[in-house]
Amino acid sequence: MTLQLTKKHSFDMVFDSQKVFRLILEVMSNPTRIANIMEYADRLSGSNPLFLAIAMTLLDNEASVDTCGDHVLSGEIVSLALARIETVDTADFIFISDESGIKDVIENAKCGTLADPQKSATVVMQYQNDNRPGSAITLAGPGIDGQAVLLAPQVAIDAIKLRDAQNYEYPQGIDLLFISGNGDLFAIPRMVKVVE
Amino acid sequence: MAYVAVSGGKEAIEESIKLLDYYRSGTIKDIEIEAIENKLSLLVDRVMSEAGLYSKTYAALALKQCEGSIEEAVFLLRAYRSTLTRNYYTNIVDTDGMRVVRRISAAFKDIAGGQILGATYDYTHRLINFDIDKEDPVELQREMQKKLSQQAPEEIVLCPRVSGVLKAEGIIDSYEQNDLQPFDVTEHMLEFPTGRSARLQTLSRADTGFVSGLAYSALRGFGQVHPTVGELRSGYVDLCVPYPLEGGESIYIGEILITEVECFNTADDTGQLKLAVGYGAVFGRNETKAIAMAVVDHELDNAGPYPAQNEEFVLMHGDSLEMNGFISHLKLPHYVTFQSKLDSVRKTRRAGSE
Amino acid sequence: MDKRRLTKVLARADRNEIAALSANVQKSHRPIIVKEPAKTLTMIKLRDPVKQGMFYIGEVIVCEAVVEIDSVQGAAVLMGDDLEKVLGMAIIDAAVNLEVFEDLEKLEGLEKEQDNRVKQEYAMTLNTMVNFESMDQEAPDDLAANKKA
Repeated sequence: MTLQLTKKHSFDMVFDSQKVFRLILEVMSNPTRIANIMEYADRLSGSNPLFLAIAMTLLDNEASVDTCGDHVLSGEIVSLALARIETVDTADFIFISDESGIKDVIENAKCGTLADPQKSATVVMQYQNDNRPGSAITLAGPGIDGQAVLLAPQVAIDAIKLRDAQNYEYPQGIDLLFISGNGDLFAIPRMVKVVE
Repeated sequence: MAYVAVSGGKEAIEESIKLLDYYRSGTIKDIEIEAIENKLSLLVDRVMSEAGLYSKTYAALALKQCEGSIEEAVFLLRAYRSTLTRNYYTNIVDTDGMRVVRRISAAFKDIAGGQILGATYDYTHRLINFDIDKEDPVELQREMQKKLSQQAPEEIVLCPRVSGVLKAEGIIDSYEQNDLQPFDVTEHMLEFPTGRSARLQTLSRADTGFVSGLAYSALRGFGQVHPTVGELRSGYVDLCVPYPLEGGESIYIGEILITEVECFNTADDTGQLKLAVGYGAVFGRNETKAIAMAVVDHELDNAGPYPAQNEEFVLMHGDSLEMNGFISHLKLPHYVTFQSKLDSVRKTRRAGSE
Repeated sequence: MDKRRLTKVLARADRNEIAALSANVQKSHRPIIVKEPAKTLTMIKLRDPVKQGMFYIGEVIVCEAVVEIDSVQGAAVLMGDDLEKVLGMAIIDAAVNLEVFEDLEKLEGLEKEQDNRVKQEYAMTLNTMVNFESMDQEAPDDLAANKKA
């Protein structure tokens, strides 16, 4: 019977999520490096295939998620990954694509405790590749040899600066994953900071 | 303790595994999984309980694969289980709602709901039936199905707990419902002192022989227990999980057979005595294990010098996989360690002979 | 029929019965697979009746599936590893959610049969109930009192 029915997603839950995981791992361990996950997002159908590809890779029934008001996306994530829907201050993963909401997310996302710094949020922010001018910032931290320059849209730069401004006490913090409309992925983990 | 990396022996190992097939090839008769599941169900129940995994078919399969070794079958099931996701947790199962297949009390003769013996070997005369190999399985099933179809249906009646009456009297302590998240020994290392949920989970999946031996030791005086089986109930409980899509409802996924025991023991209360209860609950019809678990549970509630009262002794040494794994690891090469032991022995003998 | 009742009758049904009901749905609707049928585990939480806490007695193998018919989803979770059956159950669930399931009466019939079989087996068990009074010829036969809760 399985052979006769069409599948909504051709994304393989084992092999494709492994590949996306490897790419996320690569960009997290090499901040400012860019990887592209469009190939895998194309195998998912839904309101936001790029977010869904990341969700399918990182979330399961033991994780919690906040989609910042995107109920269609949260419904899709629940039916596929069985993750729990929670609010911005308790969610393990926060998916945001509305730029106006980023300040609220960064200021309220949980940053872990001194004993359990891993009980913090990973913020996945989507931005569009439009023609607005971006800027360049210099970053330093684990995974960067000395310093590196990041060229990114202003909205991403602002998010990174805002995150730094929260002044979390080490090792607390939040980790940022950025995904563009055409699938470009880069990560700025919590210890990677803007060099003034 | 040092381990030596051994190279060579690859061919020998491959041949050894192939030779296992030889050991299973002594007859052209096959044991079908369905036959193991249905005709060796108590063996299957034991394997499921010690693996901590309820799947009769897979337990039967594992037993077939490893010549009926409980140790190996438990290993196979635990290994397989570790490859699967765990997407659901059931709603809380309350055995108040159990559909009993057996339910007795050694404490009271007359109990609400009655003493229901069910199917048990307790009253058989233990005479080997040499004719069992001539049994016709087709006829057996036909006869039993006929008997079933001729039975007038009876409404299911839930049996209230024997301990309920004693709780109402105040003789057994009543507790408030506590919905604290249980400890999961499959995800976290045991730390001592442990909580009750860790204890019950560990005992429930422990090796049957180990728990029974501990219970026996307590009954024989290496403990302070003179228990009475207040209630033993074996039966089916429904499993439900939250509906995966939105809606907030629950869905039924199936039913499992568990055996549950409450053991009563006299205990000290302020200026008087009361009854304390030990609890046992296991997969399948593992009655002796359930009773043993209840005995040990009560022992652990009391401090004392005996092994069954020592939490670390009881909880660290009962897991089938860990126990058998550690004992069998002794077969691994310990060449270097042993060499140094041999050297020290020889040294003393040279010194002695001078 | 609420989800609990629906899933209970479907779970207890024979796989051929599910296949027939699912085929009936597919005569006029085309389900698409959202989550392919797959095995997973369910951890069982048991209430400890003595101290009223909870503990994990162990896991059970289950399979699950999610399908979609005309943008309405259906899901099923079932003990065991019958992937075809759980897929059929998900299709039926989607049809129910979409309100196009036509065989509700058939389900009610199956439910009666299933309950009847369970009650017959239970009756066989009750034959093993001890009647302590029956040895004493003078005392009344009190089986009913024993049975009453």
